Amino acid sequence: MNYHLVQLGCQMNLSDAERIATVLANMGYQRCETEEEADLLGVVACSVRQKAINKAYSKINLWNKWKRSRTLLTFVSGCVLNEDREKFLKRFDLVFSINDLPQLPEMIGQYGVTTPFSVSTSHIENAALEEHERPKRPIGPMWMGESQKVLNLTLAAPAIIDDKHQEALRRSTLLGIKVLQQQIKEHGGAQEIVNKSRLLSPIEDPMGGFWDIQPSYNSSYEAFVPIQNGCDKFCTFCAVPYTRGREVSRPSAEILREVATLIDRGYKSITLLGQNVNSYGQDAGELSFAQLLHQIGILGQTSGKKFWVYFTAPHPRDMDDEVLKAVATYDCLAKQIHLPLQSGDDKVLLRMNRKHSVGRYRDVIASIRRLLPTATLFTDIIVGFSGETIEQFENTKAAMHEFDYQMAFVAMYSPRPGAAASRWDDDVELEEKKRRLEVLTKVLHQDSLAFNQRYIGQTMTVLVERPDRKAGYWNGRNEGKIQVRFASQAEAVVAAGSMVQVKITSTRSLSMEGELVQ
Amino acid sequence: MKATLDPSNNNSPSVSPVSNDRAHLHHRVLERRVLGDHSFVVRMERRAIAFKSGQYISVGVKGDLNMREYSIYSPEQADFVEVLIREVDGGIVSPRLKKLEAGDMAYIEGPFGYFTVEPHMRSAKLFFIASGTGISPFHSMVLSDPKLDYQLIHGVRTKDECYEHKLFDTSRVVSCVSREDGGSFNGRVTSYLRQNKIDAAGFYFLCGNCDMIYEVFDILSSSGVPSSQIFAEVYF
Repeated sequence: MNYHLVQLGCQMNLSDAERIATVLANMGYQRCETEEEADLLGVVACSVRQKAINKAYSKINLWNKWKRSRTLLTFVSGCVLNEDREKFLKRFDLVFSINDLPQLPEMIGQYGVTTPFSVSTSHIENAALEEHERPKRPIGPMWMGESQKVLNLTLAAPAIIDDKHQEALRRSTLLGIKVLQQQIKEHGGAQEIVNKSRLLSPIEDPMGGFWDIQPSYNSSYEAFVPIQNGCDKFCTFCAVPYTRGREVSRPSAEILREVATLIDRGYKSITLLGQNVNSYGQDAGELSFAQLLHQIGILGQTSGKKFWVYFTAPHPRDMDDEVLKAVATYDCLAKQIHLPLQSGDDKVLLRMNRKHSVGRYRDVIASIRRLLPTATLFTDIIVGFSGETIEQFENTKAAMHEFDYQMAFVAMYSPRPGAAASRWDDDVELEEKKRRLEVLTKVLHQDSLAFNQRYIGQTMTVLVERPDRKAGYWNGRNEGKIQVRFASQAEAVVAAGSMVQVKITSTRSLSMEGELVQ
Repeated sequence: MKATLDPSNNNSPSVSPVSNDRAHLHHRVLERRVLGDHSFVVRMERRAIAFKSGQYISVGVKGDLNMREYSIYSPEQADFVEVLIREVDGGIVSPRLKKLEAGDMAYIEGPFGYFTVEPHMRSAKLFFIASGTGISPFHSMVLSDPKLDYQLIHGVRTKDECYEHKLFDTSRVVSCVSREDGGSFNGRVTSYLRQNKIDAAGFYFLCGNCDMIYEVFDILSSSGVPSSQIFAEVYF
């Protein structure tokens, strides 16, 4: 049985997809490269832009057409607004919040799909019920409306559901149960199987055991570790509080365990993920973010291994010197800070409900420069936000130049359905937004080039990522996440995921070029 | 939103041995107090909510996916929690909240936010500038700490939007009524500020619709109030 996942959106969704992959693998599903090969098709949705949501609709409309001629089960999870969730309920077989992922085997099981590893005790109990006692549709956290027609499955699994043949269904199910009970015994019992996906009881866990699931990492040297879910900031341009819910901090013991495992397995780049990583712990008597970084730093020190730990994204409102001091203390905590500015104008920041001023941001930058003088600085900026005047944009341009970023992700504002600002006029013309984006891009290139030129002649550690399109060259990035291209014929030394020494010979605005130092 | 956990939902039998117990987020409605044709206060059990005046909570009807954020109206000491709501025409959540009666269950998440009077501000002159239901956090602040040296400037369209002004020290309240006669000033908040001297040493807390906040921010800035002394909570 095969599955295929369509993952849309950010690194958080990538991390979610890695956990979904684990749950499906534990059920006995195998990943396939194309949708056409799959028995199970899923979307990890993103609501940040309408384009991404449109893609989810496009996929499910296509998949539902395929259902006319083949057996198929579909699901959607990830960032989904309530309005879309209700529409998705009519289109997808399964719609669930990501913190309900541990229950996915049960949800799939209730569609009559059984795999050797997909059964929990509750499934068995349910299967024994008479049909009229069964729920009208599978029980899942987000099922609100009426059930769609249950699938006619002709899988290798023993249970076959056909609503026209109730008695056959009952017999088939009972037979299936017998077979499965035997298989469960062979695998150490139902609870043992459940525990493969859910190590601890999630009864008091607001994430329902989601974080206990060991992710199936896509990379052998770079990993993303979620440390929180949701957001409490309610920025007016963003819909995340409405798709992922409130901030929930992952237990620090779990984070440290996952990080320790990654270090042990030789991972070189570990990124702590959250919507506001530096508000970590504020929701539930946990370590503070600075304390968490200290613990990770100690793990790095004792491991004797070289690797870099990043975090994204902190919020200027919650940034304090303790976090920066922790980064300064440990070699493994990368000297790179990604601090979203969004706008360099106080009135626009008010309208964005960012809960900080430019002055506050300036103070944080001063602390970064003081405590982490070698750190690179990245940011996010939105141009053409609702009501942004030319004067306000000029303030952003001035701020961008003042703060001297090495990388900026500049986006033209577009209303996010569900976000508060989507109710306001999107009143900056597209052409003007493009102009503002180009202006800031130019500032970025100028400032970044000047920064990079300081490194000519210096030798630095580079994490190798992939061969360059130009033969004999490789691409990687340094600790500050600046792209570095270098020449090397030494195949034995250079491989993706290795760390090498590179002497910088020339620079461009957003990258550097150098030679491998043997 | 776990159907499996809701004992009142007879259509959702429990099939799962595990659950996300969200019952602690369910709060019984104690009363709904009508303040006008479209405005009302919902009082709910406080349970374990620990908040600072000026913070807000997310409120919805139990079992409903949709929630909205409302500043807390009640004081920190009260053993209940209240929110002041204006029904939005065509809205999703506020019409449903308007139907709540004593004994019904609401769903609350929070508190959230940083729109609070910090200790070093408590002895300073405070200016609370609100439009409409933006009076909520100031109601909570003033009732929580009667010693605050404040002036409340409240912009409303009609007098019936002067929500429970009697609970404030009336000598500290300026009601700016823009669409009918009455109140202590006839016109908008911004007109009042332009016609009166601005104290550049005070701390200014602005709460309400975005346009009002924008305009007041300009007035204050041009009068020499540094942005570090201006705090805003945008209603949307």
